[in-house]
Amino acid sequence: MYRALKTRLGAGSGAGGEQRPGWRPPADLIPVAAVLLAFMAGAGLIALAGVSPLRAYANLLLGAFGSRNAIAETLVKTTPLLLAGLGTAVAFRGRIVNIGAEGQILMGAVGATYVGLYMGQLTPVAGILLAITTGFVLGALWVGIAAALKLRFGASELITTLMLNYIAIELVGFLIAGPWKDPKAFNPFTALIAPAVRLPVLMSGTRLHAGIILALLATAVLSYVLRHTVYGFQLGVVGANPKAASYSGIHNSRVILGTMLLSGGLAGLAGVSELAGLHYRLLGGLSAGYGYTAIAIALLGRGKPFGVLAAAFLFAALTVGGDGMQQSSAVPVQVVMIIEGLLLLFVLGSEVFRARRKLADSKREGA
Amino acid sequence: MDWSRVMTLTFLVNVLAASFRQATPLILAAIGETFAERAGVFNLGLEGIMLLGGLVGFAAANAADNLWAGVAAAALAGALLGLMYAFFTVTLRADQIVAGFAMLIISSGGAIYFNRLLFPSRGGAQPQISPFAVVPVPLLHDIPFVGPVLFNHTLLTYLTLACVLLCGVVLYRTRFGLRVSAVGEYPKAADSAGVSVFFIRYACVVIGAAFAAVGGAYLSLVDLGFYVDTMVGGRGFIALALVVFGQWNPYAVLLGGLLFGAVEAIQQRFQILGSTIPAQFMIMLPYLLTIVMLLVGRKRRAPSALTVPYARE
Repeated sequence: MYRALKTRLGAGSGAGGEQRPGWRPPADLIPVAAVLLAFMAGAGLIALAGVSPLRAYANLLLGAFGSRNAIAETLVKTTPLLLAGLGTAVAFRGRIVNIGAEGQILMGAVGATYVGLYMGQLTPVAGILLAITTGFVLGALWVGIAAALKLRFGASELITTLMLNYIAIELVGFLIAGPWKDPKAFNPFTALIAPAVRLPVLMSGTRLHAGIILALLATAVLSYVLRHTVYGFQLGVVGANPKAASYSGIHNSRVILGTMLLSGGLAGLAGVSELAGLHYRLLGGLSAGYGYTAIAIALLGRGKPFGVLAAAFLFAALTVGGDGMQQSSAVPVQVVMIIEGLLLLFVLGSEVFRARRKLADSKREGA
Repeated sequence: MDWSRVMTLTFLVNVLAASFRQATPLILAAIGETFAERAGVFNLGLEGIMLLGGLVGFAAANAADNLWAGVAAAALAGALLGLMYAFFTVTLRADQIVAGFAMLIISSGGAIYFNRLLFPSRGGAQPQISPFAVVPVPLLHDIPFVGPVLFNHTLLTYLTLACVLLCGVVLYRTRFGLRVSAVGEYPKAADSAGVSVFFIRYACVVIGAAFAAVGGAYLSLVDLGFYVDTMVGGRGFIALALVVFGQWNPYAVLLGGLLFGAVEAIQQRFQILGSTIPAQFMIMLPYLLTIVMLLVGRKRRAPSALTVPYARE
């Protein structure tokens, strides 16, 4: 116990025990070092572009937080990343690899578009609620295909959800070029949705819309559900040990099905929010890879709703700041993508490293 | 659509020949992944590794003015990525889904980033290279029907087909291949029998990533003659499904790849012939087929130690 406390405080604090020569960084600093390492590697890549990394990073910070509008944009980006990240994270908790958030986002947007185009004669509150419900249901149904194939045929949801992404992209492409195409426009997109179905703007002069409230609400509700309900407990058991779960009377397949539907529904909400809060019409690039970034966010957030919130905010800041950096210092924005991947890889590596060191420490203590 | 133009022998020959061309990158990636998975390591990053291979292959071929230099550079880049992935999954024993996904982002982000740096698009067209030419096999390509289908391809396609045979021999008939299976099925036993689980897994992951990168290079060096960010289009993920469909057997993987190639070839021809089916639904076909394949190909179980890291007690 004392040994554990000492490790926590760092090797330098407190005498006693077997003091080993040389300073060892405290275990909890290892993930911090991992984050720093990712940004240092990013600095190296930026230097390759012939730009001073310090200046580029300064521009990145300015781009993400430098003005009222920049902060609003960061929150605008946080919204879909958070919703889709929550969806992916809840699946991960049950050891379900739903990496089809991209397709589920699109299907959610399709649902909201349908309400906005064909059911516009509603009062604003009813219109928005109906769009949210429809989007949630369509996102859930889309992953429901993968869920059914998993439970009925044992098909790996990893592949099926991925393939459903490509199918959803083509489906949207068909809708916006065919039956739902705006007759007055040349480009493939739908007409604008009815005003009653649009999410209100929160900050005048910016694009910040009420989607962020929806996303934060979803975070809080999901956090409560996972920690304080029977379902949350069952999901935890199924994720930790499916065999033990079925011995203790939990219906594994029922929990898995429910979790996958919830997961897809949350991602669908991201699509609703993008459509009803930002674009007001269905178009091809509606989800700019948010569904894939959401996977990294869910992993980095360790599957915990508030962890996902923090990760989504960080990635949103990186994305918005990266755009600013591209404009002011001519560094291609994709460097952010590499940094995100390295962040994930190094944090993962550091956790393995830390867990192993703790194990070694406890073994030494036992000896 | 004019069905009389479809119901001809020429159409069939064209489709079958095109199947081989379309299948080559898929088969390359899937054969490599077969090695990695038989040794117990799953690589979700294939899609990104293919894209980076495509860029490196194109850039090197462009710089050296030699297509084979491009293939070699792509293989090397893939091997390095594989080494990195093996370090995290084999040495650090990190979760393969997470690490694989990180590899996916890093390598696809890397490809897009370095493409912007190497070939800034401001003003002027992107460079283009003259892709690999078709080399008909002397005599054999004159055989009716079989000739144009089998013996009228680029060298990379012949090499890929030869690789499938070679991989089959290596996996089933050599000591190395048997060790790979042992490591993927029961690493503990393999370890006590003196097989280095560490070495076998590193080797297979590196082989797998190098193959995938060459598959990506095929797209830029044969298919297109240039590089675009979207050229892989899910082929890396489809390759993962192919390995399951082929039940970790290289010959079955080859057949699955050809089936895919055929669907892709038919899809493209129907679009050109002006089919009344909307193009989007035709483009969906390979992805739908992937899902169907997963449902069919579940007779043999996966290697027991797939995605399970190995640690000595």
